[in-house]
Amino acid sequence: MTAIFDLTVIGADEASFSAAAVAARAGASVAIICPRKRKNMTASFCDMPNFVWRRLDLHEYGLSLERISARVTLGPDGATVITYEGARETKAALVKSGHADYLLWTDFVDEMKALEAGRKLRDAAIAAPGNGDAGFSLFSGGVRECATLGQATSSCTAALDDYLGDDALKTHIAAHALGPSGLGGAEPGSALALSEFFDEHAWRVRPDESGPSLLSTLETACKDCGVEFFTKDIAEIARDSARQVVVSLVDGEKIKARYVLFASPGAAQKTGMRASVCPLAGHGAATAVLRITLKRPMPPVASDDKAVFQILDDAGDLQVARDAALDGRLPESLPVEFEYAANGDIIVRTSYCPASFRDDDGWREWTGQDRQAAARRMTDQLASRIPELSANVRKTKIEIIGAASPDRAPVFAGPGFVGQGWAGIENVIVQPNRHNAVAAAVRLVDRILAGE
Amino acid sequence: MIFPAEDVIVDSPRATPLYAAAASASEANIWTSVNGWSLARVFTSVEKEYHAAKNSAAIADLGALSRWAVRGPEAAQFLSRITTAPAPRLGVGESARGLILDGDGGVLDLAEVSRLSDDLFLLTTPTAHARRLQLGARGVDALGEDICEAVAAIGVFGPRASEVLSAAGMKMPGEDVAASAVVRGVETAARPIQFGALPGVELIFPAADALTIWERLVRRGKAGPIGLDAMEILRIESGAPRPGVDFVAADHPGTTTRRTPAEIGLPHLAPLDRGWYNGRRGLRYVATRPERRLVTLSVDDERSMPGAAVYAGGKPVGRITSCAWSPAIKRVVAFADVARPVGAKDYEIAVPAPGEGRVAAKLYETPESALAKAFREAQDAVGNAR
Amino acid sequence: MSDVQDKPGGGRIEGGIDAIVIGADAEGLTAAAYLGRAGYNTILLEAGVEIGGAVCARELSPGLSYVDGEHLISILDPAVIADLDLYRHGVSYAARCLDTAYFFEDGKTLQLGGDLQMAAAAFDDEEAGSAFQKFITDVFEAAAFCRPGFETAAPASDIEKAMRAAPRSLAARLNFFSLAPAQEVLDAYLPDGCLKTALLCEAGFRSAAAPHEPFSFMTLLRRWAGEIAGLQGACAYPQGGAVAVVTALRRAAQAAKVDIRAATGVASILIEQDHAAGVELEGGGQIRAPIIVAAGAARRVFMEMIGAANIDIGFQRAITAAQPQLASGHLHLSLKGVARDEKTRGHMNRRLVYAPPREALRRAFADARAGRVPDDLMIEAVFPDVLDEETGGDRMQLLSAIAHPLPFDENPNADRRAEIEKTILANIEKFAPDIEDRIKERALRLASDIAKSTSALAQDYAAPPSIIEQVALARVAGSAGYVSGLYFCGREARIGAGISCAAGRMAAKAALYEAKRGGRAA
Repeated sequence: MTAIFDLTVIGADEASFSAAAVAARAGASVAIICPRKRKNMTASFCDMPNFVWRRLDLHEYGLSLERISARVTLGPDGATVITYEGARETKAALVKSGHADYLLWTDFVDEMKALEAGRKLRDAAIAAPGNGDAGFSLFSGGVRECATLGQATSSCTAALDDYLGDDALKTHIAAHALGPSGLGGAEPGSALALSEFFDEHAWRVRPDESGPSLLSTLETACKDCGVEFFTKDIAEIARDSARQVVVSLVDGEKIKARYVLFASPGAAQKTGMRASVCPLAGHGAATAVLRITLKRPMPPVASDDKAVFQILDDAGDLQVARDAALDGRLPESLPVEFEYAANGDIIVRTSYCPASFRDDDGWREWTGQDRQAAARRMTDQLASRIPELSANVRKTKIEIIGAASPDRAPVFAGPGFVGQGWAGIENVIVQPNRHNAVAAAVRLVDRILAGE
Repeated sequence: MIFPAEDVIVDSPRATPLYAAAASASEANIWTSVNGWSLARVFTSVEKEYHAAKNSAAIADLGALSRWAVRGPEAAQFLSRITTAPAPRLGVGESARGLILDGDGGVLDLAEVSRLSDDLFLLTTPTAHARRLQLGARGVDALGEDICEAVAAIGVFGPRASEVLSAAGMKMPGEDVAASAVVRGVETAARPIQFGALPGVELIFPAADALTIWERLVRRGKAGPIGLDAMEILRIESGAPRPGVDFVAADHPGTTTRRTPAEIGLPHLAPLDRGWYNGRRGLRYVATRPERRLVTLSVDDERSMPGAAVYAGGKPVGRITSCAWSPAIKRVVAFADVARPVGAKDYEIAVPAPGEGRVAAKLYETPESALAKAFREAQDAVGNAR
Repeated sequence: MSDVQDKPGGGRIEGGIDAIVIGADAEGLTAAAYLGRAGYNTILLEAGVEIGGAVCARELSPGLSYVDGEHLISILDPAVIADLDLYRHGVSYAARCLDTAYFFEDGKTLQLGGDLQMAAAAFDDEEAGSAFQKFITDVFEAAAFCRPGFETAAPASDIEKAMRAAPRSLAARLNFFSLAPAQEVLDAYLPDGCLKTALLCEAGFRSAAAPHEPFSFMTLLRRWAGEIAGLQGACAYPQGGAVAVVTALRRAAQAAKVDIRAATGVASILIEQDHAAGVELEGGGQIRAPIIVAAGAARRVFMEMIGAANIDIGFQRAITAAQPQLASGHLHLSLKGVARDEKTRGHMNRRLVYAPPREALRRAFADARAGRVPDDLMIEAVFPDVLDEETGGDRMQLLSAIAHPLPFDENPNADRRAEIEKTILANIEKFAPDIEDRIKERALRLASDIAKSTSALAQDYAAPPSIIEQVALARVAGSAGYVSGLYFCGREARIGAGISCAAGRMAAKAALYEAKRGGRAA
């Protein structure tokens, strides 16, 4: 049997389901391939932007939204920096903790948001279906556009140094902006992460234990608007013709589609595909998610169980960790972020793990020992800031997303591969780690559908 | 000095040092927030406050504006770089109005600069520009300090302003010279300002003494407080555009509109033949061809209608940005952002249902537009002479 | 006695000049020659005593001198050669199309002909050969298309127009090329092997953008947009070394009746009514002219000669934002003994490149960025006396090498210099074993050294950032802060490493165009 769809989404996470549901509601024929159902450990990290909520009418499914209350960085020696979404609250908090740059905060956030060139660059980098010149047309901007282009393509460290003087605050911003994509502060283009970080208002769904989960709700929403589900593993993705991609499943079933979208890099990695050019892609790194179940309840750090926390000594450590990950090592000082799940579990995450390891014999895959080592290091990092944690861990569970087999040559996806004879497929789009994967995926789908 | 647009989201506004006094004086109890500070819109009634300011004197809390003290041997150059006000030419005690422009001549904000001593200036702007001041200070020997939190400011307007001040034991500054004095041990600075067409004085003093000074002005000077709504009428009558309402700052996130000084009716605040200021070279390229113009109109109607379409010669040419019913001329006075090529004096304005249709509107000369007109004529004369 | 008489030219105002060019490096000479040829009464002012900026000949041992700054030319603007008749003014190639020999850590070598298209066609390995051919075709096409984008003052509308007219597949490819890391582009095109390692090195060479990081492929694309003697992407060694280009430019300027004044520093640029009006000299006195072309570093031109208080703050931010982290190092060695036999000379008659493996290269960039001297360095070396018989000594031989990446250091101490020299030598040894025993004299030229000899700032000779960042900066700097009559062709207006002269040509062209349109000058 061969079905032909406008869009095939591969993945079983919130971003994939949101993208599929939105596309289906917009009138496209959509298939979703979610090979294996896994227990979703990252659920509480998921941001759900208002506009997606509205378009899917999620309130009708009995969910409710809450804000990420604060962004917290736990520095060494008990130093803590807290910022909020509201500029005024942030200012007050910075004044209270004695950070000199509070006056510049509003201007900084506004300027990062307004990095228009950055947005263009980001969009062009991830996908430019229909019209491939978006990235290069940056060359034709006027003086003002070029000034912002220069900012957007420079490094996060340069952007922060230009603006702020307070090291703790710079570390805080760098940690939160770069953490999700696992980038180093000195890499060109990492300034884009700043513009992305401040661009989107983050809302999250944290359903109570009894209610439906966001994931299952989105799945229902998909089914309600006619998205077709396939649950078999994928055997191969290949180009069928210049404008069509065919996905073969293990049982021989073929699904043809005009576009294939991986809303997160994890799902793509399993099939050997990867995003080609996005400066935020953070290639060569894997994400580790650790769920810590406690023996007995513990008061949350900063008495706030709705905040996102980062643990980082110094902004420079991000680049050191990034270099280590690219080198095939687990970084000594691993930057981690964590937050609290609704049931009190602590979910720890880091995108600074290597995609594969390198020792004297060359590159090798992740082993059970590596996973244990990573879990231990993440727990240690947490315990360095929350001393009472070490004696209170009941069990931990770790998942590695984006680990790659070192001998498998990646297949590139995305723009730039039009009608060429090499191993890339243009109509397959892989989204890198994004600050707000749902929002980004939905916007991407809008552009794909509009580009037709 | 004009307040910027009210905050879109009123999210737990802060109290100015004068909040307690204003709260107890506020019978109407209608509040809003500007730059995150609480401000009373109405104290008693809009019309009463308006007439008090016009015929007697009124006092207003000006604590929501952004204020910077700028010090240093090159403070004047620094300010003439940041704003179009001619800071180096100011004598001690003098003030000047100006604009803040971006590198391409787009208007970011209004500004007012006062010279308090040889190397100390006061910069007042509707909204804060911390980043610009930070950048502007690079390579220039001057230091800006945000004093918003430290000081309180009261504006006294109206024909009786000087009486109020002397009754309160304060010296009225000269026609255009600021003065500082110690009132009962409190360091205060007074500088002449114009609010609308009204003469006035702005008093700036340490925040801790805010209530004392306010009380003295009210008790001894017999001045009533004026709220934002009455001030808005005075503002529109005087022809002063309001940032965020009548024009949007060129660097506002997400904005695509840019306005030059001429396009917001303030070409006289950024003359090309005066000292250097940020954006002048960019402005030189765009100043000769303004595409829009902000005009003041008197409308034969009694309803206010921001956003209404403006027609000239039967064609839509723009929209109303802000308007108020003027008790003085018994008409609505409105700011309208219209396409430039229209040389029309007569406009029509769409009025909403019921009785949908258009009403006549005429160009209305305000003190500000008179200045702009005189400036343009002088420029043309120079141009012709060449 | 008054001050005026103390200083030569003090208080004097010189008029009747149409154009002033500040800075006599290659770009400044180019701009001056163009203006002079157009019949403009042009003065070229150079603060130092040497004409040519960083590129000049220096003696290493008696009878043996090396060329400072650059040793090869690859992106020299062909239009400048043609317009200024540089061949007539003395440019000739000792080696017009230099072959490259790549050396790898595992002892393998790879020879690539100077004509890359030919080289690809003649590639030994069939699979790699056809992939390489495809790669060269695609990249050359894209590079040729981008060429106007690398000419700083090209009007944005022209580029936009060209972009719109580009076929869809080319546009999509450009998008990929301009954003992707070099490593990804090469992975997409070529099988693993020596060729890929070699090209990866080429992409990271003399750039601050590491080949595994975004936007780095453009470095290679920029190089291959260059054309020498009609060959795209080639390198050449001019007779007499790179300094010959500067000498020819100087002759061209003199032939165009440009008044070249060395040791004449400019204290400030006069601006009247937002129009450049002339310059004030360091020794006092003014020269007035309606056109000023500035070739120095942007910081110097705008922050010192015009002054921070007189330029837009956004412009100031853009031109002062860069904080360099990386630099290249030049090492010149005089070697005892001369290889006489043809076979050895045949090997030395090439551009020699040591290409470290991918991981080592990545670590090198990380180390250099962190301020450490990396163990592995990319080396580009030539034997000038083998390439050009005229320069050779009788009993000695010269080796000129550029090593990259090194940490940028404003003022390196003796220990750091020794460490750098040792590391560079260790890497040279990888393809020229036992060279250490033959060394007689050595000259290590770091960014700070070159800067010192041209009285510039060390950061002006640091490794340039990614091409996309350079293009953005060049556009901003090229606007010269909207001062009309002022044109900028200094470091910030140039794109890519090496002598190009495109910025000087475009600055002069813009000046001539506007003067004609505005009816000013001449």
